[in-house]
Amino acid sequence: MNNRLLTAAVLAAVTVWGCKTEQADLPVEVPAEGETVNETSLIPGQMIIQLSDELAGQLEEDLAGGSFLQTKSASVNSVFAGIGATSVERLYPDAGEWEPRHREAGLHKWYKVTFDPALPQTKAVRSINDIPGIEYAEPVRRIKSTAFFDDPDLSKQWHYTNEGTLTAKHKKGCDINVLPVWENYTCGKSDVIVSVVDGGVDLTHEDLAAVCLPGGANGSRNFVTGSFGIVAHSHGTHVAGTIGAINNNGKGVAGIAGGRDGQGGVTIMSCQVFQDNPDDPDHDLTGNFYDAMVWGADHGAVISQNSWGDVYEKEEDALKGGPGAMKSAIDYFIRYAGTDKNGNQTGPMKGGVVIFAAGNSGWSIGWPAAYAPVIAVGSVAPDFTRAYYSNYGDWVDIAAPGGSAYYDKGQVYSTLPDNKYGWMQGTSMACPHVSGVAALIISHYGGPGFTNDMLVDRLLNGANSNVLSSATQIGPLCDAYGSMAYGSKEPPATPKSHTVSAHSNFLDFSTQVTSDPDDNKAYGFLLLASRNEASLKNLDYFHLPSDVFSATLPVGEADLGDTVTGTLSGLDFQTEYYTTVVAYDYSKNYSGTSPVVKVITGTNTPPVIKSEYAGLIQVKAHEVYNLESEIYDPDGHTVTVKFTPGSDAAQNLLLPSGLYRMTLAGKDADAGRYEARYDVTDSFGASSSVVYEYQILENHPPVPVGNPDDLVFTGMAQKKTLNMEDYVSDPDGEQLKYEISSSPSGIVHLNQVDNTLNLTTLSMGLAKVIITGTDIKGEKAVLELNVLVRDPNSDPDVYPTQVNDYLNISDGTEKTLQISISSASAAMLYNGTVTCDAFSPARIDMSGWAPGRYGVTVVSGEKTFKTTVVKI
Amino acid sequence: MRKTLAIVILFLAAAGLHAQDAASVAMPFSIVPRNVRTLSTGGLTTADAVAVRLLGDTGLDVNASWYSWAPQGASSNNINADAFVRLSNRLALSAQFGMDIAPRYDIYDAQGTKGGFYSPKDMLVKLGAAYRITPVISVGADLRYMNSSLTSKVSYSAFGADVIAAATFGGAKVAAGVTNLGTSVKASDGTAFGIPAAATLAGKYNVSFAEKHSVDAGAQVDFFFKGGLRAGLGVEYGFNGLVFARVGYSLGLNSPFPTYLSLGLGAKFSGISINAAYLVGSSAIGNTLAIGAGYSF
Repeated sequence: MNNRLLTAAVLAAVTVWGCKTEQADLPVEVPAEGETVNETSLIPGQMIIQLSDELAGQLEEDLAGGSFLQTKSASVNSVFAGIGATSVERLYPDAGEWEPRHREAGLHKWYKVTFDPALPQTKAVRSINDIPGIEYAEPVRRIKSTAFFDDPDLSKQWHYTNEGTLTAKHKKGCDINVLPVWENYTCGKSDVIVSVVDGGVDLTHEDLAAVCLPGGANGSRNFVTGSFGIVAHSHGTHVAGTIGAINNNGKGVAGIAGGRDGQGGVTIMSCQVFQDNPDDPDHDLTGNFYDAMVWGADHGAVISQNSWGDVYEKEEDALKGGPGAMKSAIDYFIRYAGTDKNGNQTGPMKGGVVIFAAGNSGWSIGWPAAYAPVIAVGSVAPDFTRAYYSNYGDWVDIAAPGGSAYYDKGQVYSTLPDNKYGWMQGTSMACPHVSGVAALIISHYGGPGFTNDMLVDRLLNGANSNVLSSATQIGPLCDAYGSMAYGSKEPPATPKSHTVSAHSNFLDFSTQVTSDPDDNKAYGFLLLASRNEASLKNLDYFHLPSDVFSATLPVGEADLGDTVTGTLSGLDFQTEYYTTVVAYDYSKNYSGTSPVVKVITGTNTPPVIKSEYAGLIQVKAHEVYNLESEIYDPDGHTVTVKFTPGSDAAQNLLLPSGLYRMTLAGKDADAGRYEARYDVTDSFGASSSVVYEYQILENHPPVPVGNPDDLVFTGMAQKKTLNMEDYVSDPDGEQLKYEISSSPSGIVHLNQVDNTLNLTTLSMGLAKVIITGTDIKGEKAVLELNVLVRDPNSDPDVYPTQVNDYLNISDGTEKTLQISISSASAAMLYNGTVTCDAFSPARIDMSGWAPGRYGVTVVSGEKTFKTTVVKI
Repeated sequence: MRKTLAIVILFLAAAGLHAQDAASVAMPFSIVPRNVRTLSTGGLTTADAVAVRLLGDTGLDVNASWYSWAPQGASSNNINADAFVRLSNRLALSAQFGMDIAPRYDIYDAQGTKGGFYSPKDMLVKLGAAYRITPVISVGADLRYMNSSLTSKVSYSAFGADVIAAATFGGAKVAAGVTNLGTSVKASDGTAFGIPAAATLAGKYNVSFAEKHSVDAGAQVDFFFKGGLRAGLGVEYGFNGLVFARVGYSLGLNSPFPTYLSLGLGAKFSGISINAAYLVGSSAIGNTLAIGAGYSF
């Protein structure tokens, strides 16, 4: 019953959409009339909708009943039937314990609808448009991963695509530019076999196993042991990973020619000539290099990858060297690889290429790389400089990223035995980049008639000669895209149209990516504008007329048909311009011009300064006040900001967010009123200013608080916590810096935590605790606190017992004492009554008494205490 | 003559009563009698001076004693010795030694913090000689050295001299002179304090009756130059020359020597004597006990 109703509703909705002539008011993402949408960016047969509460509740009940084709809404049923809906499911499935919160957020109202993929998405979306209760609908766009493949460590492989973001030292573009090749040409084919003459490749590695030839009569071979048993070696495995680690398998790294679909690309043949030496780890066991190279030629390989070289003691010796016997093996490979015994082409390329690492001695020579028929590969660091170790010279044919350990994350990241991955550096790592690019070229262009000379021509002449200094002497930088596009004769298709709008003296262009017969799609667009329409006719794009303004718009990762936008700047204000766009490919073949569009540039708007300033800013001496200003040019012009502080208290800082922060530090200026000022001028002379008036208030020094009670303790290890703000405070409310001390030491232990003073008694006696509070201006206030640690049952205190002037007598608390003092001759010299308290002892002036020994008797209540003192 | 003497006594008495503070007198221990017999008869030190004794008939007199001095005041254990030797009918010598050892005191500084202890000591050494000018007149002089050790680093010393003239008339003897003329000591603040110099006047009378009974009575007045007066009066009763009972009184008026009542007992046999004294007075000197022994002929 419900299904039937839904079907009827969907059909009715389709009918209604067919009659409408206006765009609905609903917030549905659909193109306007006359606007075109590139549906290649959409996933066919899918859309996302948001339902009203009522419709969501109905649909939920229908789904719970087992079917969505008959809902309680006739219009829904009709539309779903009309678009051939095959499923409706919640975009956010039931979340269990989180479901209540999901519902509160309205996530339960979002559904994904799957329908007939043959139906244009825009049409399907429009059909949904008018159903009551559907609040929003949109087609499902394709989502492209920020990484081209899903290999998790691809982001570390700057040597493939260097965005200049891995570290501050990495420079954008210092890579082999392989991403456009993956997008537009190929990711490698399995009929291209690369012979890796090196340490054994880990044939069981998760990122290599599927592309490696197993050991055997027509596969990999161990030339160290003379067997087919390949023993994994870190160097050889690393090299192989750069060439052919499997792409898009969700594991480890990507390889330059590692395929597209997780199944692998080019094939790796391991010709093992190095093997770990258990008796001498510093010196590998080696095999027959000559035979290993020839083995590749005889068993299908067309690329011989060699990251090794001859060892010389000194550069002078190497300069006298040569390829030696290796020459015969190299010549053989170049001549016979890819052919049968009769010289007929059997592989994707007739003849082979032998690619050698230039060497890591930092010398001007390296063998066998310097043998002319070989492609010698030098190494660059991540910033377009020659790697510190790389050999160099005009014999080096091409450069590639070999990395440098002097840069964080600056080495080459690839496979290591036992399913591991890691960084290594050297021309050994640069060399497989060239082998990998060569493998891509063969994969795309290979086939009957494709020869090794054609490969070398494309590989070397397509390399980028503009980015490395000639002083590096390691040739041009390997450019996979350049090599692929090298020799392209066909320009991209002419853009059919472009749109242009003006703001200030900028023109914003948009156009769609056009196709290219031999390069898949255009590499970029020239955005052109001139006051004279005639100047846009018959253009020589390599030498544009002086009255034609231009900008380039690289297509980048945009797909064919996608809309790309770019801006042309530096024009005059309020001026009429004629505009057009031209597509070009990587080989600088230019298309025709799009139809000319006329536009008038705008006025120059002065820069804008915004802040929350609301009048005079008052800052106390200890305070820091921040005022952030947003300074920008509405036209997007660059601005020059001049800050006049007014006093030393004001400083200006440009924040990473782009805001300008004026900081007022009260401590850095005398009290008074000042003005800080921003003067902002854009690159075309329009300016704005703002004045911030501020006042540094008078500083008030800290003061002792009142007359606090002294402290009396009756024993040791007793504690008391004091808030020092209760003793020394600042009239300005400043957080003071407190310093504490006691004298004499050893009676109390003081521990300061922020404003809290923790006091612990250590021994009996009277101590003075000094609390000093200092404000930001260095003004101080000192408060002294007497601390008495005394056993209430102890004898009266008579001190000092070696008297200079006054004799102090107390008994801990407020008391009346009977004091008598007699001389050594027993003459009674003092006999009287005194009063004292804990911190005010009775004082007897003995300054006029003769030096000598005196007996002192103190009667305190029931206690009588007798002692001897001396006057000195 | 009597009138003149009375005027002098009154003058000196007035000067003594117009006294300076007795506390300003240094080395007061130097006026403590060092002989038990003298102590127990009111401390008539001038009456027992070497010049007076030269006018008597004793040939040799040596004594040693121990005092528990002023146990309730500036207490000390005093060890004393003295000797008198008649070299001829005209010349006699005397010597005296005293060492007062006080209990140790705890050292507290001006903040009341304890810092150790110390036992102070006072010492007196006195040497004297007398010459008989005529059968009834003699003069004598003593030189004394005083030292007071108060702390481990502070001790004071001073020198003094006594000059006494004596005369005898029948059973009576009179003496006058000055005592403790000498140096002063300087306190830590530089203030100088003099030793207890004084003018002294003493008289003594001996009478025997009923063959076995004897009485010695004496009196003394000291006028301290810095102020203060002390007067002493003492009587000794002897039975058969074997046992003795003594009583005395010392009056100190703003004096470095205290007021007290002294009681004493003694015994003598074959020249060997044993003496004891007990003082009653203020809390500063009360309960002082002295015991001594001597030999004389």
